[in-house]
Amino acid sequence: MDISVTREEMLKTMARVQGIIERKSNMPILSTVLLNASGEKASISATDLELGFRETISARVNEEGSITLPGRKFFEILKETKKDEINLKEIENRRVIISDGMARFDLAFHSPEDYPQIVEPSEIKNINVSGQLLSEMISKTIYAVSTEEAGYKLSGVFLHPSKNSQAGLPLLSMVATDGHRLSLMETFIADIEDLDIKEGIMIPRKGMAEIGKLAAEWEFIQLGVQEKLFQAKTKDATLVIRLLDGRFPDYRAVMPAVTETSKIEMPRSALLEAMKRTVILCDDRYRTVRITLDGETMEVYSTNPDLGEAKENLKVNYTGKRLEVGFNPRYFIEALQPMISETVTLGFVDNTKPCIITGEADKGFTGLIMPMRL
Amino acid sequence: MSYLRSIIHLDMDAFYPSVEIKDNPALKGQPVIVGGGRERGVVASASYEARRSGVHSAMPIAEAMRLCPGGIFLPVRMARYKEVSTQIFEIFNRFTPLVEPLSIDEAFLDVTGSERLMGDPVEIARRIKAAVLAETGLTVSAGVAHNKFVAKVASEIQKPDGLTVIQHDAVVEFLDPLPISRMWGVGRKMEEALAALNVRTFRDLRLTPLHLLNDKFGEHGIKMHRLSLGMDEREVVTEQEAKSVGHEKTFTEDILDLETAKRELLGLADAVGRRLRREGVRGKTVTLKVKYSDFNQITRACTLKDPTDDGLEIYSAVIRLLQKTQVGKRPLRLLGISFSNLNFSEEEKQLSFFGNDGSAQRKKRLNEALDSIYLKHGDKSAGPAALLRK
Repeated sequence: MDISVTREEMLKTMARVQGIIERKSNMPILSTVLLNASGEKASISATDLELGFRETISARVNEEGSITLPGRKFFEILKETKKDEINLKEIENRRVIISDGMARFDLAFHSPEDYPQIVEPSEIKNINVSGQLLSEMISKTIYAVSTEEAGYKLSGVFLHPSKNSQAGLPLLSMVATDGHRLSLMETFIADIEDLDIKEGIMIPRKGMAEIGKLAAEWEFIQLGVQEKLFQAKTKDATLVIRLLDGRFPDYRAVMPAVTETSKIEMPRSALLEAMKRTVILCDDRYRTVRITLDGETMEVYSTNPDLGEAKENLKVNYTGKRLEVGFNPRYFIEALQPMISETVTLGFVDNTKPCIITGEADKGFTGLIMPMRL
Repeated sequence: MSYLRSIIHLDMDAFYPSVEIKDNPALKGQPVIVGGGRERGVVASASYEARRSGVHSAMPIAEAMRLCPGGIFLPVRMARYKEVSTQIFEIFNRFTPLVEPLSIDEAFLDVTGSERLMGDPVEIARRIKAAVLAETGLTVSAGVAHNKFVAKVASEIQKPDGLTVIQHDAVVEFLDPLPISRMWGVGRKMEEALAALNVRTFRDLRLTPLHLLNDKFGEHGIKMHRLSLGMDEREVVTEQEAKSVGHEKTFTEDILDLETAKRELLGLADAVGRRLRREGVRGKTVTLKVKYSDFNQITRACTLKDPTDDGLEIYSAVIRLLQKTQVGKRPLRLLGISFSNLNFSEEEKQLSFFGNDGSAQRKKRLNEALDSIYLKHGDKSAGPAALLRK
């Protein structure tokens, strides 16, 4: 292989795959990327066996072929190079010369035949989704995914089609939970029913994060499902993700009926900032804030026997009976941060049922946070 | 915490060479340099005579030989130094129970409560120095101040055999002229960064506007500013709380197959669970240790969402970690499980959406029942059936 590529294009792709390639694995080849040159194009593939990514960039191909490159090191080389064009030339004994006209790297590489690739599904039915919309849905749900590597059936984002209760419009529901808090996005997507996800699918967190990055960059993104594989595609890039097994719990059952709740409204920033201030006193042992609702005040209070206490009063319009309830303030911070509404609505039932967070401008979003015992 | 404490920082003078000289008085007055050998060829410690030639610790032995050709180069005898160290700490402990060892030859003592019994802090420092000299023949430098930071800086001022006392109202005066490199946490890089702000002494730093330090160094800048004023609230910590709980097992014969490895891990996980419950703690971060038969050792760790003390939960976490190893493909001689990120708090208080609470309660009751059986009939009286031998 002997090709020349523009540094900028290659750097962008290599920056993207840093999140995919493995740092610590008993398969060293998973820390490499596969570079393939043919025609006028070069494609870069990366995989961790659970997801595969491939992007095509333009290249001046003097000689076609395939090599592997150490993902992290190649990225660093590109970052430090100042020239616009990079040449990669394969020489004997599985070595590659990377040069920018000034610096010259001579690297050994793994056999490209050994590179594990996730087979891209063929003849897949795709739907077109707005990148911005998809990226918003992901950023408003993904933080709630269980980070416990143990998290059997909660370690992914669950997607299923649903219908708007009034007009019966087709919606895509995207939901994530770690058992303690839950976030749900329901968004109108015209041809969602063409996507083969009737029973719902679960996309692992890492894969979902990669879809999010892709969606943020492109105006439109094509989604498709086949068997156990999920595909997200743009003009130049393809992402294939192995879906998670296991049934997502029946999350609707834990959502309190709207009629049950007493609601309060307050500026999102005031609540977010109050939570950020009270969390200062929290640590691994003490991580409860106590919210007391009584008439026109909401008191946010936290205490840590090693340090002291913090207290803050917010003005609200609460009409229910006096309520004292404990929460992990981090859950509030993570739910409120990606929201955009000026005013948020909190719904409370009692101190054993979840608090419901919604906001006018955050269409389709519902956040639920389970209390902590006081 | 604004009350004034009485802290003594004690630092043995050229500890390793001094022990060598004590054991071989013929070396007295000679440039003795300890290090080299297995210590990767660097100086571990040098006597004051050798230091005068420019030799200092962490310097390559070859360079020390060049600077000090007449030097007496001795290997590190750690076992012997530990012996002497134990003797010295035993002396420290006579004066207060609040002794925080920093290394083999250095400690903080909080003598705030010892004054009525032992005299004022300066008197105590004198008595410690005298006792160390009388009983071991070694000298120790002491710094006395109202907090750890100032005491440590003070002990470094006059070495060897120094006793430096900094009264509470003289702290700023004492620190002001000192070069900033004397500050804890200021290395060469930080020294350069501070020099760029024209900060070279404690005084310069003290007079630098706080917001400037905050902008440039963030929280660390604020910490440094506090230190430049001689403010330090850290307590003398005598013993660390247990940081991890673990079990490991070396096998008489290498384990080749996955199933046997899993069974051993079940036993280990069960044992770790019992230990956690006995200590009344729960752990969040589980680490699996695997040593292959060629002595190559790897560890794989993950953090659970909720802390646990249940053997089966530990086991299922470990089994997932096992996939990141070559167990089953490569013979192994040791397996270990440990738990860190321990949580001494009250019961988990976070409520869950999906009826896990019930099963957690059942698990807790089961473990309580099992623990009472172990207590009464011994550790081998019950356990997972998979561990029964035919």
